[in-house]
Amino acid sequence: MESIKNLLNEIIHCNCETFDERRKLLLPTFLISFAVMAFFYGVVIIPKWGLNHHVTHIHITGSTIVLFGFMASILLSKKFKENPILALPSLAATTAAMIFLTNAEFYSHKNDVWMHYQIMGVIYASFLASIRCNLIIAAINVSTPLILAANYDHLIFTDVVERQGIIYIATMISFYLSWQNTMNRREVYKKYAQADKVAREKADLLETLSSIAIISHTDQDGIITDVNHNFCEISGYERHELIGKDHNVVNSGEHPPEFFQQMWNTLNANMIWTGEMKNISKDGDEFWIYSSIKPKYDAKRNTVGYISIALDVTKRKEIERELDEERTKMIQTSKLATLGEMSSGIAHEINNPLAIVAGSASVIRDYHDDKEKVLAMAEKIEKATSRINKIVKGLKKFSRSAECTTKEIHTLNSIVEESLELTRARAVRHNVDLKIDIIDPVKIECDEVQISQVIVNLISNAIDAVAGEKGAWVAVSMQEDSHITQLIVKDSGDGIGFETLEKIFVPFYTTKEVGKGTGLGLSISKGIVEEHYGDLDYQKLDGHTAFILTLPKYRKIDVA
Amino acid sequence: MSLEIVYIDDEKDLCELFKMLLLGNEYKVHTFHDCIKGVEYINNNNVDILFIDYRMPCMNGFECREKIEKDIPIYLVTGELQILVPDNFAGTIDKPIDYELIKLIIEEKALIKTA
Repeated sequence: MESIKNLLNEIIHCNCETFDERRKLLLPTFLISFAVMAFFYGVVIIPKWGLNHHVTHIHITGSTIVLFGFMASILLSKKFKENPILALPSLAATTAAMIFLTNAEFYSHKNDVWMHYQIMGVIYASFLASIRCNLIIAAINVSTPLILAANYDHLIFTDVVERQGIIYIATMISFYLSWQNTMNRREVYKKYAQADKVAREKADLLETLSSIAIISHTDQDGIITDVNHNFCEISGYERHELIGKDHNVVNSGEHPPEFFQQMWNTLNANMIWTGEMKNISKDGDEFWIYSSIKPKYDAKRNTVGYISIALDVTKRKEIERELDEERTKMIQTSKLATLGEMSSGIAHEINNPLAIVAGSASVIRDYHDDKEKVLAMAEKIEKATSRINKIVKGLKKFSRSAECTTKEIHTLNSIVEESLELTRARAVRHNVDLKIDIIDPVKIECDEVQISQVIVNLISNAIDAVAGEKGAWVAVSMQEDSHITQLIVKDSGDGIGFETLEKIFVPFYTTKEVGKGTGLGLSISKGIVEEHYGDLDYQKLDGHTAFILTLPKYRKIDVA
Repeated sequence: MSLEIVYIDDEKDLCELFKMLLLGNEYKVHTFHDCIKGVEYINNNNVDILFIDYRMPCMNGFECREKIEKDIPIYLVTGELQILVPDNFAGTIDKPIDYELIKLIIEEKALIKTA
């Protein structure tokens, strides 16, 4: 009973998604049909006509064709989805049924056997129609001959030919509609197949995404409605612990309210928010996610919730932080190294005038009656203290924090002179001849300390590069044109090797021995110069290593 | 018996002060702000004690020391913060110079010489 019910359901609710189910009903369908036919032959046809009568033959042949056409249409129904031509056997079966039925009527002449044929054939044809098409066609197929048959004697069309003509027309209309429907279905199938493909791709995409990403859904108030496995794993919460709560359960407190405000502003503007966020798990472990949050809409584009897809970037963040720390440390070390190296030279520079001051004081004490000597000593003290003063001033500027940059108008010349003051000791120590060729003062707008740092760096590098060579020299010269001024630091070296050249502006690259240099110099210098709209470049001038510092000249902007 | 003392420093003022402050005592003082001349003088004369500045334009104190052929006590006068003084120096005197210390060194040497 259940299977008959199912079968009827199938016939009524015929749709493409149920092909497979229908095929499962093939055997009961076949058995029912066979039972009906066997009953019909055994009880009505054979007792009446006998096995050898042509009516019985027509009966059995026609019924068999119809039954197998019906079976074929069910069996091939899946294939019809792809190719409607395959529906032709079922159409052929219907046609055959109709021909046999109408022929039988001609032969039997007003014998009521034709009615059974007609009813049987039309019911099968309707089955076929219902499988491939819709109930309307089935209804036409069934009702037309039935009405005609039932009211045989009372019909207007009493003539067999007229009546059969109507049945033919009805059948042709059924065929036409059936064919039309099949063709329409074909489009639908195509679309369905396409949609099916898209849906499968989406499902695959989602599955893959879900395996790597941390996904959560919330409603429009930010209350979690669903989370995926990864979310549970990283946060340490169970799924049921999270649903119904908002994301504050994993809030680390790292980000200020403005951070979330900005996030909500983006979302409320119907845009996707992307950013990095530090969260905290149930166990108190911190984790970083790189998250993308998108509003979800209903059909009217009202926001109904949010979806967040995130990746775990904790490791990357850790590495970044370590690198940052390393970098800060390196810069600090470099500063200390430079300062340490410089301080030795500077100590000498200061201690010499100090020695003069101390000596002069002793002389004054010993010869306090000799006015001339006292005066001479006082003069020496003054000179010495001003020397110390100059150095300390330069040092103070050099060591000042680089965080606050203040651009003021200076002459490049004065900065160069100060820088030379700080590097002269180094040149002397390394027996490097420092040649200076400075032009008339050129005004530039700059942070004096930073530019001084760059120049000190360049000169120190040049000195180090040629230190120990015979007849080593470093030439510092200036030149200018209408817009720019250039400082050229050239040394007696014969240029930088090609391989080294590629890397000289790379942070931490150094050719110096361990402990002698940190490699920060040139990369930082270039950065500083570029901040001043200038340029720092290497060139081989007259066969010698030269670094050229280019800075724009200060130009008074006329305010109209 | 008078001692002969030489001081080499490129700083002229320091040479002058050195001379002034040690003058009047029982020894001769020669100062040079040119180390080459200084080395030449030492190699050709009877010098008892030598004081050399470390940081000089022509050569540093160590190189200067190498050029001296005589076996006399040589002291390095320096304002450097960290410096590793070779064994062939008798000692180091920090700048600013403590002249009293220099006097003590000289007197000690004088005592040895007279003894």
